Formats: sequence, C-alpha cells, structure tokens
Amino acid sequence: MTQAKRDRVAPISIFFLFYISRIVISLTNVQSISMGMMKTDILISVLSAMGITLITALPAIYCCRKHKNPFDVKWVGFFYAIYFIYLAGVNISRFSYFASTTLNPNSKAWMFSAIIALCAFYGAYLGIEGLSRFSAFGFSLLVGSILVALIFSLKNYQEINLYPVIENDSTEILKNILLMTGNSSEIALLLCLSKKVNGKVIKPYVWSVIAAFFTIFLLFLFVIAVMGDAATMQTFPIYTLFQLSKNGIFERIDVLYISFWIFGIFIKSVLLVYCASISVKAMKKSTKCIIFAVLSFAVATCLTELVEINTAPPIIYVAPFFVFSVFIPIMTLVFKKRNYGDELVEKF
Amino acid sequence: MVIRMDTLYTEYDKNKKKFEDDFKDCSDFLMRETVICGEKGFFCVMDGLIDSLQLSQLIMSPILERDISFHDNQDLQNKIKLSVVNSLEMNEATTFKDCYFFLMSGFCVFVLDGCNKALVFGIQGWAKRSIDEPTNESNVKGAKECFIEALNDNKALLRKRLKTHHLKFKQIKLGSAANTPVVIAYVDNRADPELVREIEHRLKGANLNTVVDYGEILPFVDTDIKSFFSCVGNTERPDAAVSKLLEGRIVIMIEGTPFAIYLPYLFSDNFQSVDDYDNPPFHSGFIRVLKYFSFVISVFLPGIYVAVGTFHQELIPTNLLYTIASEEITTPFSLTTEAIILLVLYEIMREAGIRLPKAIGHAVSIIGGIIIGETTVTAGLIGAPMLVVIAMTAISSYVVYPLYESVSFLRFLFILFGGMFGMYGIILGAGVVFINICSLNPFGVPLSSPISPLDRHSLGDIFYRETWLKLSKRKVRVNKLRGADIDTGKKR
Repeated sequence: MTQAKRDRVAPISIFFLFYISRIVISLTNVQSISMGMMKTDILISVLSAMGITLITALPAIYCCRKHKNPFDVKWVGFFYAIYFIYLAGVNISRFSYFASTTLNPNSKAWMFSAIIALCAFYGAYLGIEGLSRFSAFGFSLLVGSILVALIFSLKNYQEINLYPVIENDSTEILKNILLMTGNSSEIALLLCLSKKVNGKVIKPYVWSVIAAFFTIFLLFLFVIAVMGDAATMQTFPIYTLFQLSKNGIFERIDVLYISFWIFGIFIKSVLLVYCASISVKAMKKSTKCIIFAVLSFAVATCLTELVEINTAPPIIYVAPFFVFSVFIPIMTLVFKKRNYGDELVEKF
Repeated sequence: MVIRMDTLYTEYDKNKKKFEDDFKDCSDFLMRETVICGEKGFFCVMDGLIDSLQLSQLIMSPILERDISFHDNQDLQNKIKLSVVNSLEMNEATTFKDCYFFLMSGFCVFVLDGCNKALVFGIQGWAKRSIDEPTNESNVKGAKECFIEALNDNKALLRKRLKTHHLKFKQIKLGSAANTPVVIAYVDNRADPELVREIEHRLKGANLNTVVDYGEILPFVDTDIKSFFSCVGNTERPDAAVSKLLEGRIVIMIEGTPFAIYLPYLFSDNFQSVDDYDNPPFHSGFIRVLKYFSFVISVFLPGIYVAVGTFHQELIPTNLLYTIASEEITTPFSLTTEAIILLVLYEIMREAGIRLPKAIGHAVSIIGGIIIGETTVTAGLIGAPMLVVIAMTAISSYVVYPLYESVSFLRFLFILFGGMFGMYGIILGAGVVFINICSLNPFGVPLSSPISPLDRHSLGDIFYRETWLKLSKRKVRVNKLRGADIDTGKKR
C-alpha cells in the first residue's frame, strides 16, 4: 500500500519509454540523422544500426548484470547528467526547429524550446512513476498513429520506387549506420534507470531497440516506396508521408504526426531531465529539475540559434554516444568493484 | 458556555450544579429531577433531538414505576441498566464531555446520586428529511434512494444492501468544537486493514474546528500532489457506495452530509453510472465510449477550434473553412477572445441558474439563451460556429458531471494554449494534464489504473461493461491495483 516501493517502474514501462525515446529521433529532419540520398539502402543502414546498437549496449548490459554501475561513482554521475542535458537540448532543438519552420512559422524556436523545457521540469518533478504510466498512453498513440498512416499510405505504395536498392556509396551507408547508432541515448538511460526497475531490465531494453528500429524501418520503407526520388528532397520525410496519407474525410493525417511527435518529445525530455536529476546526488529534487530544465533549454536555444541544425557535424552526436554508452561502461566493467548494496538492502 | 471536561462526581448536587452551570441560557436543555426508590437522580435531554414518546415509555416510566431492591446506589444503577429500562441503545458515560456528546446526539442522560458515571439511553428523534430520490446522480432504472443528512439512516441504507457482518462502521469524532460523528465504512474481508488504519490515522490527525461538510475533510484524505483532479470520489447513492465497498474501498460518511466519500478513487470511476449495470452490455459500452468522447470534447474542443482557426486553417476541409471564415470574418474579436467571452458568460449563467430560486433561474436561462444565442450572433459580435462549439462543449461537460470542476477550468487553459501556440500548445498541455493524472497515487493505487498500469482483469468495467457472468469474476479490486506497476518479477 502506502509502504509499497515508490519511484520504481515495471519492465514494460521501460520498453515503452525506450521505444518512444528511440523512435522520436527518426521523426526529426532527416538530414540530422542520415547522410546522402533517401534511398532503399537506408533500410540496410537502419537494420545494421539496430545490430550495432545492440552490440554497443553489451558493456552496459554486463554492467547491469555484474552490478557495476558507473552511476555509483558520484563524479561520473555528474558527467552523465551533463550528457543527458545535452541530449535533452538536442531533442528539444530538433523539435523546435520543426515547430518554428513548419508548424507555426510565425513563432520563434526558442519559445517552443522554453515551453518544452518548462513541461519537462514539471514532468521530471512528478517522478518516474507518472512518466512510466503516461508512456503507455504515448506508446499506444504512437503505434496507432503509425499504423493509421501506413494503412492509408498503402494505396500510394509503389514497389518500383524501391529499386535500385543501393544508390548511396559505401561511405555514406557506413556514415548512416554510425549516425543512426550514435543518435541512441537508450544505453546511458539503461544504466541510469536499471536500479529503478522492479524486474528484468535487459529484456525490455533489447525488445524496445528491436521494435523501435523495426518501426523506423517500416516508416522509411513507406517513405521511399510512396515518394520515390522526391523523398530525398524532404526535410521531414515522415511528416510528408503523413501529409500524403489522405483517405476520405481524414484529409490531414499529419496532425497525428504532430501530436505523437509532441507527446514523444515531451516524454523523452522529461525522461532525460529526470535521469539528469537522479544522476546528481546533491540538492533538492525540485531544484535539480529546475536547473536541468533551464540548462536543456539553454542547450536547445544554442543549438537552434548558433548551430545550423541541418549542417551540424555528426561528430557532435556520435562522439558523446561512444564515450557515455560504450567507453565508460567498459571502464566500469574493468575497474569498478561490484556493488551489492541494493541487493543486500532488498534481502534485508 | 465554558465546559470543563472532567469526570462525574459521586455527589448528586455537584453533578446537578455542573450540568446547570454549563447549560445556563440553553433553552433547549431539559432536566427533570426525580427520586427513585428513595435515591435522588436526574434525567436530562436536549429538546428537539429526542423522541419524547420513547423517553416516556422506554426510559422514564419503567424507572419511576418499578420498585427495585438494592444494596447501594451503584447496585441500583446496575439494575436499572440491566433489567429496568427498555431502550436497546444504552451506554455509560464517565466524563462530562461524554455526557454532553451523548446529549447532543439525542441521548437521554440519567445521573444517580452516589454514582460517578451516568447512564445514557439512545432515543434519537430529531426532524430529518425523508429518504428521497437522488438529485445529482439520477438514473432511469435501479434504486431511487439517496443518502440523507442523518448518519444512522445512511448506515442503515448500506447495511440493508450488504447483509453481512463483514461490513464495519468505525465511528470517530472529528472537529474539536463540534465533535461531528464520522463513520469509516469498509468490508473487512475485502479492504486492506492497513488502508483502513491509514485513513483513520489521517482523519484523526485532521486539526479541524468543525466538520460541517465532506469538503472539509477532503484535503486530509486526498493525495498531496497538486492536481486539477480529485483522488476522492463522492456519491449520494447507497447502491453505488455498496459497490465501492465490495471493490475493497473505504467509504466515509459524515453526520449532516447527504454524500458519502470513497477512496481510493480511480479516474475511470468518473465515467461509470448506476444505469450502466442495468442496461445491456453493448449499450453500456456505447455510453461509456460516449462519456470518454464527451470528456475529450469538453476539455479540448474550444481550444482545438481556436488553435486550428488561428494557426492551422489548412487542417480544416475547404468547404467547412469557407463556412467558418465567412462567419468569423465579420466579428470584431479574435477566436481566443470570442471563446473566452462565451465561456465566461456561460459559466455566469450556469452559476446564476444554480443559485437563484427556480422560477427566476428559468428566466435567467431564457434571457441568457436569447441574448447569447440570438443577439450576439445577429449583432456580429460572436461567430455562429463558435457558438456551436461552446454549446457542444457545455453539453458534453455535463455528460461527465463528476469532472465538471476540473473540466471547466482546464478548457480555459486549453483555449489560451491553443490561441498562443496552436496545436503545439494543446498537445503539450494535454501531455502535462495526462502526466499529472498518471502521477497521482491515492493510497498507493494509481489514479490511472487499471488502464495504466494495465490490469487486464479489471478492464471489463472500464471502456465497456462485460456481462455479469464475467464481471462478477473480473470486477475491479483496488487491492490488486495497488502498486501494480512497481512490484513485478525478479531483478535484472
């Protein structure tokens, strides 16, 4: 009852959270997550990225299994907090860019960033339980919207558009794989949230990655099959796919895209601000949430105002990924002693 | 009236003086001195709270007319208690505070010389409203009884529906000045004893002067997260209260309040009504879906209309866009202003309609309807489509009446969000509202359960209603929903 463990989530919620967290990346302007042309070979990149994401998660998975968590070291936790804030900033800036260029062209991007940051503060302050429950709604909405869009796109589906299969050169394909892998934040989130899950954490993580990449695969497949060569010209190809998916009175299905991207970005921002707040041990929860929400707004504003989001060098996404998702977990596995603290407390 | 709360004296005169001093200038306080078998004693009651016939026939006549043999005064009092009076409800009071509480509760207090405790006999008989038809939760089929202001009658209404000794009524007194009786009702083999203890503890911790209505104890049993949505349900229907008790919930009833509150509360409770269980399942399911749809309309429709009309005209089908544009282009206000003006006017009329005497209330409705419905549109102040939107919103909000307070406030917020940020503001605002609902954990039971966290066994009475063949096995049990999303499986 009231004595039940609080501030914990079920494994299924981790699946929802990670699925949403991964899939919102694909909704952004395609230039920031891929290179070259939007051709069938991008599907190969998606599948390869899925495999590599799972492989790169191995050190983190072993960290969870062996009870060696980098977050047990205070100063490492602090750096992870910075990383999460950076990721929150990147995600918010990507959405603000869309909102200010496509949704409400008369409004400034920083305004959208400010509102998301404010909402992220509130959500993070409420805690992981509410977020995990809300993620179930977000997941249902997201999957429902995607299914509706794909079903309504079937009539425009032209297999011929998928050929020739490979048009980008091997360097671009490799870069796409790298970019898609490097845009993942779920490995760091897995490490951060592993202690917050009452149940198996690895299984939902693996399934969330597979499901998210499979959904992205389907979306890109339809984008290419429906739009053909025109897909390359689109800044937001999935948005365009939704716009084209008309059927009878449902003339504008793109509103679904807008809705679930906003829900997705909201959930992801809350999750990242929350994770940042639990990565740092000092200060009150509300203070941490406010500070990190403001910082994520600052990062987002810097990225939208100072860096051209379409032409941002991929290294700014990929390098932090390898440091925080691969390098630090490996170092933790090698150098850190096992921490049985929680296990003992639970047994006690 | 200054009351010193100490124990009764053995001396007759001291007790009598104390009663007389404390009830000085209380014209409804009645005291009758008497001699019983040669011993002095007095009866006292509060006029209006007792049944005079019962007092005479069940209490006074037997005591005064019987010749009782006894050793001492204590023995006399015991014999009166055990074999003389005919009253069933009988108790002993050792302090003046207890005596006064019983007096105010419609008891007759009998004090005998040489005894330091008083006998109290329940002969309540105050004026009360008869058990009537529910006015706020009316139904087509099913029972037509509702709670009234008398706590004992309310207890009886529950007891006659739930003929089991497992139904418990734990009574406590709340309010340092008023000592209002409050009953915590629960079914002991269904409700969690810890939950009962927690609620009792919280109620006893309520530092209140008086408890006049249930609203006063809500903050003490509601969740601590600031929210637009309450985590405590209320009902005026005994049948609804009984069904909640059988789900393992706790019902709280207060003397003088024709409503019972129950908890833990689920968000889905807002969409259930008694008729759902009398109608065929397909119809109940249809009505449930309509209710959820009405909730969405009542909160979001004006905001979405403002957002689409202001920022996303391309989302409206062309023909409809022409119709709306031709109406709205002639009005002097923006869509946001129009929506707010109309809603404010509607809320004013609603409030006036509720508070005014019925005859004038109708007049207000007619005047309001003509002025808003006809004149504002004809004068070109408000667009007709906006009027339709607000009318739909207003009607929809009555479909889910338990949420009216939350809905009426939220839609203003969504109009502002829609007017300032378009669909972006609406959806983000919806996200914040939903995450707020999801964060609420009244007594460890998530408000959003059994939808999220999902409990398949409890889903049979959420979006649709299964037949009783299945429902009897699968109905909501709040104990099973408690912490459903946090205690699962093994680690790693």
